[in-house]
Amino acid sequence: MHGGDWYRGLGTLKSSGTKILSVAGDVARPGLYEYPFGVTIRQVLDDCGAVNTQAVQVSGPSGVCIDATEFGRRIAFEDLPTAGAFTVFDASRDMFEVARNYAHFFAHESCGFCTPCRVGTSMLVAAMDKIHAGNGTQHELREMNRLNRVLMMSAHCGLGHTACNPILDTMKRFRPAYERKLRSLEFTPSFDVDGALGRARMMTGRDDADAHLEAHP
Amino acid sequence: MNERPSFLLDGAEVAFEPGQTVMQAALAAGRYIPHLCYHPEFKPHGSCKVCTAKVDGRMMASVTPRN
Repeated sequence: MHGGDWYRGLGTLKSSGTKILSVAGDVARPGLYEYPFGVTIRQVLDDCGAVNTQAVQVSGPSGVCIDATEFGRRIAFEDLPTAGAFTVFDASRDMFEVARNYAHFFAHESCGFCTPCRVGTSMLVAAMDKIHAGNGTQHELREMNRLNRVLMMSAHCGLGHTACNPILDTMKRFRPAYERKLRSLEFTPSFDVDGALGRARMMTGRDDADAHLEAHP
Repeated sequence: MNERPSFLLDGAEVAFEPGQTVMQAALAAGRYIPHLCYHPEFKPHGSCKVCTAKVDGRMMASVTPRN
């Protein structure tokens, strides 16, 4: 009807035309929204009736997770490129649990062809589950960063390359969500040595200070 | 002059026959690239990624790219 030149006039200089977003999550009106490229995250949130928004996952698990300070950013190839997924999380969501869910998703989706992704996504799940269970330390956070480098370098396809994205993004922007789950912000061994001596204490009928490791730091 | 084509592996020249993979050329030249899932008797699979190397600026399994 209007022709290609008209369509090209929509959007930004580098991203012409429109983009259809699939808006889901904590919003009053989820659904498909079509915008000219260059629309701000805030505009989309206002239109779909999102309140108390804590974070938006743009372009799905492999995409980018942004926080409220970045809602002025734009959907466009030069800022936030997207395949269309737009997932909204309000303040009631625990962003650590969001990332843990994505970690399970990637481990499930990994086809298993290449070793870095098959093993790496499972190691990611193990680390996230360990933190969830309250046994995580700074070591897990460092390991996940290291794992990301391995996957980026050696995974066969994009699934492995991007499997760590939701964890790294949320770790950067919502670090307290991770740290409050850690056993200690300082180093503590993941294995509870004193707890392991409990059986020996039971068998010897002892429970005095000398039978506990903490008595001898 | 009819020189054989070659590429650089860790700074040292390795000659290759057209159609050889990086791994085949390196092994033929007596250079070792660590590998697990590659075996000369079988078609290259490229799944274990132990032989990952930077080829033309991209990280990839040395058994899959052909010269």
